[in-house]
Amino acid sequence: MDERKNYFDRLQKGDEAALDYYIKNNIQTLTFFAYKHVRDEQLSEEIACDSFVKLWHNRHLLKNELHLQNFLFRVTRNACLNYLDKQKNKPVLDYDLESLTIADDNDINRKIIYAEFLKLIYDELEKLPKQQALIFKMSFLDGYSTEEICDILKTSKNNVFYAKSKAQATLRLLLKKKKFELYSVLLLAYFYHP
Amino acid sequence: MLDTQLIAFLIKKYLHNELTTEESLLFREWLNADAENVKLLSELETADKVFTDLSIYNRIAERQKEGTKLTALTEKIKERTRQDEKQPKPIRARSKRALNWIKYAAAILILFSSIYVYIKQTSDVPYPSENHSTHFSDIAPGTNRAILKLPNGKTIDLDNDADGIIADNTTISYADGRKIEIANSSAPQNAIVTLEVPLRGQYHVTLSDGTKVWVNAGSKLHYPLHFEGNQRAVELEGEAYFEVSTDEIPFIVKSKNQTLKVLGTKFNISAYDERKEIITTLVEGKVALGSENIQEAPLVLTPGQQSIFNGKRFSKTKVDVEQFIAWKNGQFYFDGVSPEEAFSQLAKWYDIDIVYEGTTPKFEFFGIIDRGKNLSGVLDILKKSGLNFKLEAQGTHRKLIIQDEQTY
Repeated sequence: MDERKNYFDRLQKGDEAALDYYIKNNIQTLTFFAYKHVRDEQLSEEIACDSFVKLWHNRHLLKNELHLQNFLFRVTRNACLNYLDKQKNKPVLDYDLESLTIADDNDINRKIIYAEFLKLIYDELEKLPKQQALIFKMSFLDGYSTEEICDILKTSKNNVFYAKSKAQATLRLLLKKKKFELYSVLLLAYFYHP
Repeated sequence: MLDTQLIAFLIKKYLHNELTTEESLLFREWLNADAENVKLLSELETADKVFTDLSIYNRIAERQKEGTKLTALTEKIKERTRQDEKQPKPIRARSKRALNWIKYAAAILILFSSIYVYIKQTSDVPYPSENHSTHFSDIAPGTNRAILKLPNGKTIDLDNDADGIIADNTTISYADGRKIEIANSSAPQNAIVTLEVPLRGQYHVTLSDGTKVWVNAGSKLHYPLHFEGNQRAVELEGEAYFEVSTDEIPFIVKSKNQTLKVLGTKFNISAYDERKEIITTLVEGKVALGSENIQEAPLVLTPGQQSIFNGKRFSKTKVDVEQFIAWKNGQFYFDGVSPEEAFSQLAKWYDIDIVYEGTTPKFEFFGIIDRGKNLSGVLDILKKSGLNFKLEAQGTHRKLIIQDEQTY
């Protein structure tokens, strides 16, 4: 918390390193959040970048870290809605801070919570050791058998099984009400980088 | 205003079953505030949407992590802030809103401290015990043990240390050569004896033709002291691994209503009573499977194939045979087996009842585990898959309770 407070203070004082920190920690989630509205990766990234520009210009007006997070998501959402309206030849709404601080907008809150939740899960997958990630990829995407993985990676069967178990524990929350097939689907999706 | 990061964090902990009591109350508070929140949670739990979105999230994240992409984006943002600095256009803010926010924060703080006091007062009260079961911490693994039932009704407790028994015409001896006394030596040579292996046991027997059989826990093998005439036939209840010595006389294994016929080969049959299917796995050679219940031509297995017979129909698949014969090499071998399968193996080897608290967990086990381990050692490994266990004894019954995730 102290660290977060520290960065918040530095941002307000105009320290660009603090901006780096917020970009690094939020840009993925914001881009995802924008993508859910506009369905275009390139555009989502543009919008997310713009949100940080807006953050920088309005940094003096932010009360605290919490306010900052909400600000980022809300300007992103508004930019997306503006874009979608533009597509429909509707007049462009200008974003302003007033519309951004309305507290009873529970719907957007839930969308933000959802995006933040995905970030937490993704971060957890990222924490898996490289070897483990590789083993999942080989077994679930490339369809290698346990023996083949052992041969290629020069590792023991127990290591392969251990890696699969660890991933399963990590993803366990997603398996609560699902059959295992879906778990495989997730791994496929997770390791598929077009 | 709501701390969305905190709520996301609480949801994650809730799904992982890691909420502290304080957090749990806060989480409930949020959940009860709006029916839509409950809907969001159930969406996360059913996972469909999460799967799709996680893959999108991953794609975006991977894109931005590539090489110097993040640095480039950061530079782009900073470049824009500098351009815009020349004509700044800050957004107007109203202080009234800020006041609102402080009220929220204060409310949360008060909530937090009152929850804390509440818990402090209640958590010291011990819970009354609801049943008379006692906890116990461990069970030693199964060993080599079995009894031999002779045609005259006599039973012999077989030596635990011996490396199996060998049938040799009219006599039976241990592998090290010690003779086993069979009182009634007038029994006909083709008299059937039964090797009965209890739960927490396994045993190895060499038949009169040299065929080797490893009999698993909770199983019976009926076989003649000596094979006579033009048939070698045994009957199996439960599970056993066979290395049939090559001979022109076919070797027949009957299990329930399945009949397996071979000349010489290695295979495993699992035909426990409580299971509907008979599973036959071929390691070497060739076997033919049939049943009195069906008229079709026998099903032929080649090495690496497995047949599953449900009493009416045979089906054939290709498998990694090692996992089906690992037990005779002293291993549990789980390569993606269901909890039911894994636990039924533990139930036999440790002589325990399996109880599911709540629903049967839906996921798979992976691991090769030494069968010489105590139960606790095995459970420690299975815990890596994210399950929790409790051991309880009621009278002579020992139960392994598989605990469900926290249900809300």
